[in-house]
Amino acid sequence: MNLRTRTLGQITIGLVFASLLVVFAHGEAARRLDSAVTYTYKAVIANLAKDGTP
Amino acid sequence: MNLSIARRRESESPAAARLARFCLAYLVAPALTGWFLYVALESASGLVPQTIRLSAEGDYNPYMDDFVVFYTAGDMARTGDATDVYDPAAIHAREAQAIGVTPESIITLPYYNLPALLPLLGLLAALPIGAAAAVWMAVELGAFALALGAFRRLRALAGGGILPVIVLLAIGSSMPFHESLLHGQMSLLLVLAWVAIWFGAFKGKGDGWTVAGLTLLAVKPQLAVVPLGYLLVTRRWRPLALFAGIEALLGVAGVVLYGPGIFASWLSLLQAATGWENENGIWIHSMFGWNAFSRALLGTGLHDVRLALTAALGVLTAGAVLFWGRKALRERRDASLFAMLVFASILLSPHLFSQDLILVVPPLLLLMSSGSSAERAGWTVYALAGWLLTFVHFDLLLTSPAGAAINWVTVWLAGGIFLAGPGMRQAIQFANDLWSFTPTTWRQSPE
Repeated sequence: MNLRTRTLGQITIGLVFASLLVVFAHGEAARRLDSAVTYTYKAVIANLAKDGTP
Repeated sequence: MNLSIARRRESESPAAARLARFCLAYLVAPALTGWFLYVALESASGLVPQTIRLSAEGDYNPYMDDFVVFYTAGDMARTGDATDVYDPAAIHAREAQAIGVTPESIITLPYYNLPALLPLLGLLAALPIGAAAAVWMAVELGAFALALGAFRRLRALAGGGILPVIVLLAIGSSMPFHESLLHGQMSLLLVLAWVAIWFGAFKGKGDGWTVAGLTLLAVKPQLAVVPLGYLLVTRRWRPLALFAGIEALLGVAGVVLYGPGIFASWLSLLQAATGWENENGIWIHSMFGWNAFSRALLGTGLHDVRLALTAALGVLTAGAVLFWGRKALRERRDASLFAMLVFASILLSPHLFSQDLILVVPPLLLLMSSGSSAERAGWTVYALAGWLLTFVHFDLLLTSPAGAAINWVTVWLAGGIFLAGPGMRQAIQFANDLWSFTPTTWRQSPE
């Protein structure tokens, strides 16, 4: 099997795997990626309340 | 991996080797492709402003907030209010005006960057804010694509195949890339600066590249300290003199355009910022230098202890880079030395958020595409570990008690300096010894 055919095969399997993740784990990665913003927001709130930090 | 040992093992157990190769090609590689693609898709959806998120987060609107700072600073410079650019209250009011809300409804984000950037930002601010945002992001993404293209390292990864695709998806789905786009930061542009420094200071393409890279990097001056130190230690007087000349010219231009007070205002803001925490955009717990490590470990109290720990770790880092860097320089291990400089510049920076971690991309690409196959594999695992640590970083901090957490990304960066020094080669030697250790080989090869 040449390199191009093998790469296309690998990408196809990867696409199937990504589709499964989108269907069964939708929102999970987005929540984690948003956690930086959530964390910063907690600091903002903590500062406004003057009761320490997260 | 030592090739002779690998070949011997393969010849000893061809079925096992074939199975390992098959799993790597048709399980691990597609799984990584699928995972990074999934995260990239979700990451892209998170860039679209969502009303529900904005209402939940009150006055903190993260969408393009850093771009709004740059745009407002440029607008103030353009309309003759440059003297107030470094006044947090003044720029806060103008930021609210720029996006059409009341000042009470957004938090204060000051402009901390060089006065020399103001004329360029002024040009940007001549456009309506929507068009300016589009131009800004196009420049950012264009510069990043240019940096990756000029670097010519993706094709060198394991002879092509799927690995460059995985690497591109990994970059596109990474927390630093997502944060750069979300906040409209200039971190993607700064990747180009390090690539220029690589070409100029390591590949002999001319001092012009080095000076251009340094000038761009000095937009965030704290990031330029380490490469400047490198030029000083290696006695590269010509690029140092050229850089100093350009900065002096920019300084004079700043004084002519905005008056002599502009630099005093800037320095005064920076000095005040050293005492801020959780206000005016200074969130140390969200940073990634040694100051953030100390903050996570010790909490908000013990200010002097934190400062002492940060300083001690900074001195240790500088010493380690000086010691191992000299060795790498003698042994002409350019990629390792370059990686040490980039990692150290991040660790020593007192103001570095997750988007700036994108700066590790050039050294990681270099290390993953040079050296022995074992070194390439080792650095690929290191890069994957970094991706994962940044992905779960804030979740880890959120679930850890305040003042007792480990900032693992900072540890990962420090580990990178050690690995780029003697660590990776020692680890490979150790693995080889372990792999080849049998009573027969022990007798034959006592080393």
